[in-house]
Amino acid sequence: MDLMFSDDLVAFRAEVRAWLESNRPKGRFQPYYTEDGLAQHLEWEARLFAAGYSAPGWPKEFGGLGLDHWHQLIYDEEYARLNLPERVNKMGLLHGGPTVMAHGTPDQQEAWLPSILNNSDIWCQGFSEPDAGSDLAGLRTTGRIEGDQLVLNGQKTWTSFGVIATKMFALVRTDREAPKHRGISFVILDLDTEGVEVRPLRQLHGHAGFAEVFLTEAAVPLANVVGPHNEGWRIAQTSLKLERGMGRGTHTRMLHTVDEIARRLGADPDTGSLERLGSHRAWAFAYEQATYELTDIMSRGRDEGALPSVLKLRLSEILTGIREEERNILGERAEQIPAGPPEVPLPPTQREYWHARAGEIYAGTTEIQKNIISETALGLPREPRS
Amino acid sequence: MRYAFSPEQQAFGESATDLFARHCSPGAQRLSWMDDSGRDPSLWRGVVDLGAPAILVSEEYDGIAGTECDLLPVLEEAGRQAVPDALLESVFVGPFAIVACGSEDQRRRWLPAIASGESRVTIALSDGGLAPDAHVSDLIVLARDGQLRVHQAGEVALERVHVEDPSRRLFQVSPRTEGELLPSSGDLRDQVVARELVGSAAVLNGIASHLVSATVAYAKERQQFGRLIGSFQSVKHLLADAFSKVELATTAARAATWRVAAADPEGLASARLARICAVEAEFVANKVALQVHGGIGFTFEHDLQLWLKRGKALEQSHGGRHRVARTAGLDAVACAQRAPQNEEDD
Repeated sequence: MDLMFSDDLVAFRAEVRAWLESNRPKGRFQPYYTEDGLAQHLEWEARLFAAGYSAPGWPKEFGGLGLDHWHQLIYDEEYARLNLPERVNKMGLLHGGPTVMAHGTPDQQEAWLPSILNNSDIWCQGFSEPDAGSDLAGLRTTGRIEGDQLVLNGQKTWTSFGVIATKMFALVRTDREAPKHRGISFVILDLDTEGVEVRPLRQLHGHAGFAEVFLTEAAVPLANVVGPHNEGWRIAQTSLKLERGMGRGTHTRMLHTVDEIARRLGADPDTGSLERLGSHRAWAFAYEQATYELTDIMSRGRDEGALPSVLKLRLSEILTGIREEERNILGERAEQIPAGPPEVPLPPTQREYWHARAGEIYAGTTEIQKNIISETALGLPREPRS
Repeated sequence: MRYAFSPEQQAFGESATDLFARHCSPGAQRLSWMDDSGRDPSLWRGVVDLGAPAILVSEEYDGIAGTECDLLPVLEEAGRQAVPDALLESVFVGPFAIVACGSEDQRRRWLPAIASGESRVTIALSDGGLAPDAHVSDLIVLARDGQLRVHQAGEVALERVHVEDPSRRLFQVSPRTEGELLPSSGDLRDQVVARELVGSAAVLNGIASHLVSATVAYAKERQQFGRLIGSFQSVKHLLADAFSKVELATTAARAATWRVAAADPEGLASARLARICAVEAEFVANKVALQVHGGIGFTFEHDLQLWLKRGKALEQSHGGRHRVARTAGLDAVACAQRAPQNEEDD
């Protein structure tokens, strides 16, 4: 065992920290789904891009810095430490882009990757549907081949960044006769295609960046299918694995959140609160160390097994626990917010609380992670798949 | 960075696995419940042959000069096989207390014998605390007024305190002499406590790991309603939850041990955190294990009770569950006051 950061990583941390501290935007941005907010976020993204920090983990051949897993982790930690703005194109930079790198043709890579990296295209993910949430492979949006086009019909929902996105990577059913997981294709579509309608979907904490996306006879080039036809489920695993794998600084934010609630405890905290705080701090430490362990495993190219699911499960439950404790500390003040219309986004304390609750649902619910863990790590009998 | 054990550490752990399997099978333990000693001298000889008591002793005193991390695989395995002997005290915390807090003369007198297995040591770190395996120990380290004193076996009276776990041997020790003060034990007490915290966490993680794997195995053979019970989500999810907590707790204990061994300023605080995770993870594993076994697990004949009872004992041992959590809470408050605050925070 050796848990020391190498000199190289220490130096890289100093370099990233210095750059982020001197270039960080001043003040808080408006939400990205407002006009001013989007402009603020895109200006910040442009500054990151110019410095090579848009997607530092991308290989150099695709315009990234080619950072390895440990350097990326350091970058993510420093970004999270300063509580910098949410990355509005993360679905493209972290999920869609890497999927195209892994499975796309050179033509597709050339056509799409540069515009993700410089944010001239914002990508969103079109996986979930109203009737295909946990049972993702039960999706019903269809793709019908007509000449050199794929004609799409159906509905996608819970689409993060949907209201500002220009492109979507979607799973669509292209063979209705095939078994559930085998008749799906992975396709990229322009959201200004005729027959595509994006409707904003406000979340219960007032955030309005979500969308539902309706597809009616929307024709996209057949050349936009990534990977072999009808093998989209396999292609999508790259993206799903990335979604629940690398924490992207979540451990740093978690430790920071524990600090926040510790500061709320006041001068003379009672024993029960201290004990619960100690427990939350303990699990945040364990989560941080397990994130490092996963990074270690990935950087050695070893099989990470069910560890990403273990981390996602624990992450969401630890975070919810911490935010519940914050409400305990606030007591009757926990519900209080400034005056305003009911749908206005909640202030940070309440927003973060509800966001933690959402974490137990998105990117594979707690129950789905437990299925994955019990079947892959523990070898228990599998759930019915069709 | 490397989280995995080194090949040498792994081999050391595997040797311990074999040794324990030969001497501490549940059947062998049950036989030992009848006799007062409850200890198999050949197990201790095996532990000595492995070199375990010599790991923390420097070469100057005929030791191996290893690190705390080297002992982790042995302690985890001791938990996994519910080894009855107080190895945490005899090969880790006890030897360390003398290594770190003893005078030059004391080290010269005691450490070579500890390293060679000639002297077995046990330790109780809280004032008036019970010393495990004192009846088979040659040196008994006791706390008094924040300092540690070493007593020879012949200079103490032992009174056995009977406990739920029939394999454990705990003793109230009444010294008939002053014993010998370990001169640095007042200043370095935290270092000894840190080892107790990470070491006991490692043993607990081993216990919890066995509770989960034994229960998974049972869920793969027990049928009800015409199906394996392991195919029911209510059962799968309990096990996945326990497994995920034990995984994180194990990583936390290894990381904290590394920090303690590296004299990291955060070592003691990390050790408390690791101990909390280990206790909470084992608590869940303990609950799930009995629940999923159901009635069969509640019989005296079933071996599950070895781990259930040992786990419950170690949740409260070594400082008590609540005191550690409260101190960790105070650490967290101090840590938050030191941490830079973002201006965007409200």
